[in-house]
Amino acid sequence: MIKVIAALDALKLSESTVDYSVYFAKEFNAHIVAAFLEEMVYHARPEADEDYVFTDWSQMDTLVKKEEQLRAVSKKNVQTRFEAEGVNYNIHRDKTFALKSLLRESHYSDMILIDENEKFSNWDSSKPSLFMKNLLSDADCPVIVVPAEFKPIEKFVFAYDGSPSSVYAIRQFSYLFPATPLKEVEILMITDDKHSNHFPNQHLLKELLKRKYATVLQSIIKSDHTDEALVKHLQAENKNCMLILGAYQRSSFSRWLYQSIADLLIAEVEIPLFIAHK
Amino acid sequence: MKKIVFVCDVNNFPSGAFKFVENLNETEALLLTGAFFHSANFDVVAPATVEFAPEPILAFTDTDIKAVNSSIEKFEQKCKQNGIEYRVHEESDVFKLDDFIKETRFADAVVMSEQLFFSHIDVDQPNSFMKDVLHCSECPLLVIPEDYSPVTHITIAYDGKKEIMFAIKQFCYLFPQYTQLPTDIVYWVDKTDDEIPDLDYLEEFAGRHFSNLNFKELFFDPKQYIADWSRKNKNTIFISGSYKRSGLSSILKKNFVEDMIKHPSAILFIAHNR
Repeated sequence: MIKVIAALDALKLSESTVDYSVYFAKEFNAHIVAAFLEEMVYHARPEADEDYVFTDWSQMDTLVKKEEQLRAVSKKNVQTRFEAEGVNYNIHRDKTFALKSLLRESHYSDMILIDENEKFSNWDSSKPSLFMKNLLSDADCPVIVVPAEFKPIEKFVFAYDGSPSSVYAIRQFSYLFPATPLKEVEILMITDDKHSNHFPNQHLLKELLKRKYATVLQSIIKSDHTDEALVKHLQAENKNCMLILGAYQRSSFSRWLYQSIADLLIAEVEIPLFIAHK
Repeated sequence: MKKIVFVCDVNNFPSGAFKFVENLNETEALLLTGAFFHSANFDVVAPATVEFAPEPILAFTDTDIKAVNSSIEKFEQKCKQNGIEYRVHEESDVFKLDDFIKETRFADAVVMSEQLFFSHIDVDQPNSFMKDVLHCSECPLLVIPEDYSPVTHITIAYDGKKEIMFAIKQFCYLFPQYTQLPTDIVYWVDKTDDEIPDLDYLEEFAGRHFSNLNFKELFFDPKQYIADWSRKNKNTIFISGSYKRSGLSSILKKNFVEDMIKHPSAILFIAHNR
């Protein structure tokens, strides 16, 4: 049984993360740890006012009371949902520093599930947020970034470019999600080399994939604008897929190279992304 | 189904490692890739000679290739006898470290001998050849003693660091069949008031993967008594974290892993996230 952290903000509970948690628990026999993260300088907005930026310190006591109520309601909702669905779960409340707590959780988990819109900040309007970027670069287990709306996964698509990182992501994914007959598996390469009809190290790749999945579809898309071609391909043909990619690896150059693709996908494509790096 | 790289050199066929693979293949079908290292790499030797005289090198290379072919024949024969699907790395006459790295990138694990790897050149293990393999592998390694006997126990050297957690995770993914065995999570304590770090997190994770789990605090200095410990724990897979090139903590861990290899008895599982 794998241990999956569902990273949640109790002040604005992501229904999608809860939905995907239930889905993974049922489909892949996962134990869910609902981790309610808290950030010392991040508070609920006292009013439903989108332009509100700074916390009003004079109303702090009222605000903290309201937050506690909100946290209790969120926790109760998650418990009720998990119990109704028969999910194996427990609850963590990680106080003070959201990122630090979640990174610590990542040492002791097989995977993290998180909504693409999580910020733990009132002022950060970037997408993906700084919180997400830091999580993706420093987590010690794969992270599944889920869209705001739940869609059942029908297909796994491996983004492959021949790099050690992309192979590492395929291997880690195969350990967590063994073959199921109902899910299609595709290996996808986007290349700007118009003469290439082969995947890099094709025989080794095939040998590895054959051991993991019985049937693997192959797609090579040739385009000068690889990033745009990837986004278009996923938007048009793979609406109910999960994309597996080895982005955000620690070594400096390649990290920045692949990070931009992952950031673009998080911003533009509404599918779950499985991101693993060495 | 797993893809395993079987590491072998010219003169020394690792029988213990092969027995381990035989046992693995009984529980799960494997693809075994034979990676046969040559003693000398012509590309490396040639530029070092002041006056280029290829004859002695060519003669040596010729003997080397014959020896490798005999090892490959033995490997193929044993695979056929035991019904193990296999492949031999066939890209060039010399098997280079770069080829090995590429093979490990596309494999689940590496198996190799704890005592024999290039022992005809340097008997003091881990020799430089073994260290290179340990450093460069992109997948976890199993270092197996020649007097291998089936595994009955798992020991995890826990120190609270993320490297050991990475190794534990990789072990669980690769060998779920062993997670039913009695498993000790061992924490070597320096002072009497030391506590196992992040014990609640560790229990939560390990409880999901291992079904027969014990936590132990040991008070002896592992560096002094590791030989004794290893002898008494012969049928054990010992899970260890990092074997990286840099960093002070990795030097400490590296010595620990090297001590274990110097006193071969338990199987070593090494995984590092480079």
